[in-house]
Amino acid sequence: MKKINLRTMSILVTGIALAAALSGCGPKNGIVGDPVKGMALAYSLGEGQSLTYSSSITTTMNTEQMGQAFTIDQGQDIEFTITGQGKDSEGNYISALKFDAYTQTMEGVPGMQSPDVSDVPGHVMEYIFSPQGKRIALNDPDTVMIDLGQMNGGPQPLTAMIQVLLASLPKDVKKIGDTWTDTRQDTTQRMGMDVINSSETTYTIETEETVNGYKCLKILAETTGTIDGSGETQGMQLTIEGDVETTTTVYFAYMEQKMVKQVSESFSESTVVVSGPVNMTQPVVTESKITVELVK
Amino acid sequence: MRKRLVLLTLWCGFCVLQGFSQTVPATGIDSITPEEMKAHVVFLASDQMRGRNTPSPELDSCASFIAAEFASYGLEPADPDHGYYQVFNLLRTRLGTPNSFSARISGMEKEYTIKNDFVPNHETGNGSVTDAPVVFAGYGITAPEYGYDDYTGIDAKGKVVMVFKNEPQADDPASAFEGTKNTDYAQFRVKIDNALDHGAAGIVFLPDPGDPFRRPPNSWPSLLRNPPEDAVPMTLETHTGKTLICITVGKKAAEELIAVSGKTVAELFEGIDSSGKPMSCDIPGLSVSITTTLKGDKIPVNNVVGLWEGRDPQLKDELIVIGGHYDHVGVQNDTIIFNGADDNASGTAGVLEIAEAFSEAGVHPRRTLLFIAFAGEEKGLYGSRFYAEHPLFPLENTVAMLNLDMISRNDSNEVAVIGTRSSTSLKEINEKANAEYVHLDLGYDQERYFLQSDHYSFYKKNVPVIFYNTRDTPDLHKPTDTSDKIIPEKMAKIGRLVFATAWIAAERQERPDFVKFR
Repeated sequence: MKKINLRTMSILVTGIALAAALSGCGPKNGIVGDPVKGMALAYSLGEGQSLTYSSSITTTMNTEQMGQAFTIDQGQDIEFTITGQGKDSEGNYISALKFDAYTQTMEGVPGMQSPDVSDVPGHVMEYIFSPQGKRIALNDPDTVMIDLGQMNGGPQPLTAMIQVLLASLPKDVKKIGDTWTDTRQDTTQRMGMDVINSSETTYTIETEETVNGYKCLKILAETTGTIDGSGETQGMQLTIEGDVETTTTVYFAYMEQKMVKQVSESFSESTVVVSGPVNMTQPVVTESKITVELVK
Repeated sequence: MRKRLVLLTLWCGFCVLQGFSQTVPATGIDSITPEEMKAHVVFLASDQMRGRNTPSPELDSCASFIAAEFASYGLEPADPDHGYYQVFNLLRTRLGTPNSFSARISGMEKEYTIKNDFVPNHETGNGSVTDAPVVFAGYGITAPEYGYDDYTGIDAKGKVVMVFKNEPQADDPASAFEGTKNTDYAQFRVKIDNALDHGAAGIVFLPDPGDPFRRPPNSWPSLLRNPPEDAVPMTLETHTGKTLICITVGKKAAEELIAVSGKTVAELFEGIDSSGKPMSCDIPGLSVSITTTLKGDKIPVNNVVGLWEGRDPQLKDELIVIGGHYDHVGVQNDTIIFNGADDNASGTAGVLEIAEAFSEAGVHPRRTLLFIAFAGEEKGLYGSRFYAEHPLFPLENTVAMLNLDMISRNDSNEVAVIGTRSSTSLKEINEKANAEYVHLDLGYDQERYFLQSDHYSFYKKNVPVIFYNTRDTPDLHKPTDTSDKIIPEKMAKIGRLVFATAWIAAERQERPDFVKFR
């Protein structure tokens, strides 16, 4: 049987494109200071303190072969609780990340099935993040796996499914009205590929706004970037190239030192090349919306 | 003497009965053995065959082996020009130089860039059009059966036509163009041929407002920033006639070009979709210059085709195809062999054994049997797609296609039968054959794989199909898909089921019905 036909291939390559698109082009730095005079922004999570968030990701991926279009819709809804467990020697927060609820759906192509995620609710892993919200580590000693099906990369660790948790904040002191630009390049591992994410983000602290009863700084981040990757997945040599545009709005409660809400919309156009015996070049467009909101 | 006469009468009666009987010959069934199934798989999936990639010398060796087997069973060569081989070409195509696109918009020259603004289509010819007048031709469709013609009222001769991708009312379930399903009119190739028929010099494909791509979708690896060295698109050559200059533009270029007509892309798109009527028009202030250059090689590949002629003077013009693909995915890094024992040395072995069973049956069935080992399945059903576009016998006389793909694994008494919705009577025949001769458990829950093997090329041409498969394994498309894991006894049972089904279908007076269900 042809395992990777046009449609099954489209699932795989759009999955790769999605993973790459989400991995590198969100805001990675943020703001600092007293809202008017300037202040340093940082998270605070005391030992035993818990923050519960709901997170929703919807993604639509489109690909085209010989003028025929295929669409795949993916959704992920998570409710998770972060509970402080202290700090490490470098001042990073160590926390227990518990999945209170988790659903993941995929549809659009015959043969595609939403994965079984019944092992996830109640599962706990270790989440270490810097005071500025940078993810230091997401450790899952039990290595919960989610089987996306043979069409879509097979079993993947749960940690690879968790794309967005807390927004990153700037190290420098910033105030309302400040605009600054951050360029960055990093390499991530996605589905067997080394993916180089290069991005330039323009940040603006737009205003102060009350959200869900919290006085928040509204931080706008507009990112343009590229993704370039190559590697091997399921025995196939893959190369990906893409351009990504992302707009993210973060609401950060500067007094309580916690993120209240983050909304991010992303658009990427990419090309995935499968070289070697399965020789195929496929264009992919990915549009996604991510919302993370404090529940309690 | 009288006793002899009685015996002779009985014998004649037996022959008559045999001649119109749906009783499947035991000699045929018994000739399908686990030992022979295994021997075929061991050979086809051996390291020497290096994964039977399309194309490869090893694939050609397998084709020779299959052809020799067909000959030894007494099957006739089915291709009038190439005997046991139906030859088709794969194209390895690269972008050459130059490739350019510019427009003169109300006297102003506008240069567009490859990749960001336009890409040459894979179907394009090598050549140029210079300062050619432009006509907007809707979707580029002439479809009398739907009462729709984008070329009515315009003269495309010597001009470049600009057309939308897809077809009118593509998202409308009530669309005359078969609802939300695409008809063949949505294919680039059909639009190109229609433009050629109307004398066009070139064609520019436009994105519609709902197209998710902003830039033209790029399927040329050489346009990547860091193109992989060994990535050269390989496509099936389906068209050997004339072609013209074809490019696809992105949204920005499309808006700029259409704006010369005094309308927007959205206005034209919505105008056609809301009325179901063409809005084709000349665009007097616009001319374009396009150059496209491709370079590439043709690589011949073989389907292997053997014929077992039917005995009925009328029904022998109708045939049943029994097929399976003999290719797999080759080697990786020149060292790791993907043997493809289950996928699909097993199905190929099944085709061989069933062919032999017909030759052992002692009598020909009423209808003709055509055995095909397909190449290029793993690349995109290329072999069966080519056959369906260039059938050796009329497809309207092809009454059924039985496809064997991965029939050797999973330790149970079950075989999945996929696509049985395409024919109520063929499904019944298969169940009858199973109940009387084989007693496998038939699984009907694998329809999600309906698009993924060679039967689909026939289904698209309105041929009833059944796809036999013993489900996925963890070894699928891995070097671990090896001969030691196959279950020859199960393969033999499936082979007997297909043989019995084909026999009964070939004997019945009525041909199987066909149900278009997707």
